[in-house]
Amino acid sequence: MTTPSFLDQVRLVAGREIRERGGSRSFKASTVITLLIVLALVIVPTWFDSDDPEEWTVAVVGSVPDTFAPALDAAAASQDATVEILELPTGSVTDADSLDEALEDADAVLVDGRVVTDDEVGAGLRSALSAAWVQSQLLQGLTDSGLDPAEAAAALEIPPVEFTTTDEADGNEDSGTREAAAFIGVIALFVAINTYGTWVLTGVLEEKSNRVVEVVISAIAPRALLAGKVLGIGLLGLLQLSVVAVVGLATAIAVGVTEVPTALVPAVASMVVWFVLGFAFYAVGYAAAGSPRARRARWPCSCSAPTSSRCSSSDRTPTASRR
Amino acid sequence: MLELRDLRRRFGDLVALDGLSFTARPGRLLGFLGPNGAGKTTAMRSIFGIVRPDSGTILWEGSEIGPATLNHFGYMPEQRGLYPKMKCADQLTYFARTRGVDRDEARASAERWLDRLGLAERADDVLESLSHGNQQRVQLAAALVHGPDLLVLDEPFSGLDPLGVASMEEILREEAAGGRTIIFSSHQLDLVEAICDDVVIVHQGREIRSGTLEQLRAASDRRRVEVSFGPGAAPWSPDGAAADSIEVRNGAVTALVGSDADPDVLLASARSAGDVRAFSWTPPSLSELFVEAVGGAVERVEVMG
Repeated sequence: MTTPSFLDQVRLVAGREIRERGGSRSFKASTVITLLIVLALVIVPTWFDSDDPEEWTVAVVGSVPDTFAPALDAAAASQDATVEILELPTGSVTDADSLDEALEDADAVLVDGRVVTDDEVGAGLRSALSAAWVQSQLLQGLTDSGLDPAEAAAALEIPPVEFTTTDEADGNEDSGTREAAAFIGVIALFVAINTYGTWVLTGVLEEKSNRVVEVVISAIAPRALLAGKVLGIGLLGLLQLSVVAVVGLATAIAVGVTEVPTALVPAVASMVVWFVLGFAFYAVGYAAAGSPRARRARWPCSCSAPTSSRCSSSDRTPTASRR
Repeated sequence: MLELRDLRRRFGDLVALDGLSFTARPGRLLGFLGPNGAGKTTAMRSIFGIVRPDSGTILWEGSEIGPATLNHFGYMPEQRGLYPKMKCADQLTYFARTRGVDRDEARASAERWLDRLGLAERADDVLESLSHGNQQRVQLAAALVHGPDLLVLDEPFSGLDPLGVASMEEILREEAAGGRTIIFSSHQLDLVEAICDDVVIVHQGREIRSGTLEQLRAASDRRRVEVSFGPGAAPWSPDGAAADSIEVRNGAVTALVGSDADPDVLLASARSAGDVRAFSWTPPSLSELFVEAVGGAVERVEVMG
């Protein structure tokens, strides 16, 4: 039997916290529930925000310039959409009934230079149709005025204008991802520090209320008990947080929500640092708030103990303020 | 040997310890008695550094108590002091390890104690699933699992059924016989009288009686007289000699009289009242000594809580 050193005591207490708490049903349940929530947050939005290419069907009545169809294809492609063109004979759409019939099969009907739809037409289809219409009419006009069709087409070969932001110009192409990571990170930190800090608080209160602390303190220095508790719960929290973060991130990459894990690495790394610092600070604060008994000085039995008549104010220096 | 010397401790205006001194010796069971609020728990806590006395000294084998010494002490607080959701064996192993017992030995000792207390089958049950009496047994094991030289128990018998009391009593006797120094507090004075070697009675933070049970009883200036009468005896009571606490029950009369009374005279007087079947003349019981020592102040203290 040897006297355990301060570090041995811390290790014993931390080990107990990890074994008892980590093995408890509530820890496992909270891990699973958190995982499910994170998975839901990552996966569910993808159900509503489909990246599948849109498919449009456009009915064309009568003849249009030959260049209309390729122009519409190109315009649709630029919007991640494909377009199918139904050619209806001239005169097949003359009244409301025949128009409705044509709209059964198509999203839009182009008749006599007008586009008819049954609902408000989507912005993508509208701009694709306008662009294709203008381009084909323009080409037609240029060819009509004697220009060689190939030359006319070349003249209309205009590269689209490019949009960029100053951030991208500075090379921070993934600032959006990083902002999102920081935002999510701050929320995760807040929740994690609060949750695990509360574990420390309830642990201390439990030990105090069922008096187990009297047995523990008769063998372990209060500071070792505090340090061990904070360390044990901190490691457990870090483990839980890592599992959730890794699974969440892997899922996000797998379902294609995010593509740039390299941008996330510094954010995650700094989160770990902030978690360690923040948790240590708040956990010690929580523990000190919960345990006035553990704050008392340890070695009471010397004759030179202060003989001040007020018992409490002088010898109850809170641990937290001694840091 | 544990010595407490002139311990003083105030909590605000309340004086918990007012110059308490006593000595506990190895191999002996010391009953630490006193009315509620006398300072028993404060004294016990100060041995372990849980409460810090304002002044005074506590010595173990002649030197002040430090962390190394504390590992040779075992403490059983009055309220349960265990982790409710931890398995019994794990719990005892942990407490032994906090006191420097290595892992394997701690585990073996935990199992040995559970076995000895008849709880071997509950080793892997969480504490809160055990009955009150069994939790108390585990609490005792937690105080003993590291093989301490000094054992301090605060009300170890409270809430135990007669079987529990008997097994607790047996263990305390055995441990004392093994050379440990044992201090325990209790309000069950008949029990204390039956098992203690030494007694300390504290009142208002200081000891008012201490010594072996025999010394205390012999030192009393009262004697207990008990007379059993056959049928048809006239009412009798010891006259003169400042008799008090007279009780008549089932044809027997008991009373406390001054130790200077002459038992022959009392017996003669009883015989004149009727047929005397039994006559005894003994020192007062521990509870009579206790009441005598603490006096009317008990009621006041009890009311104050």
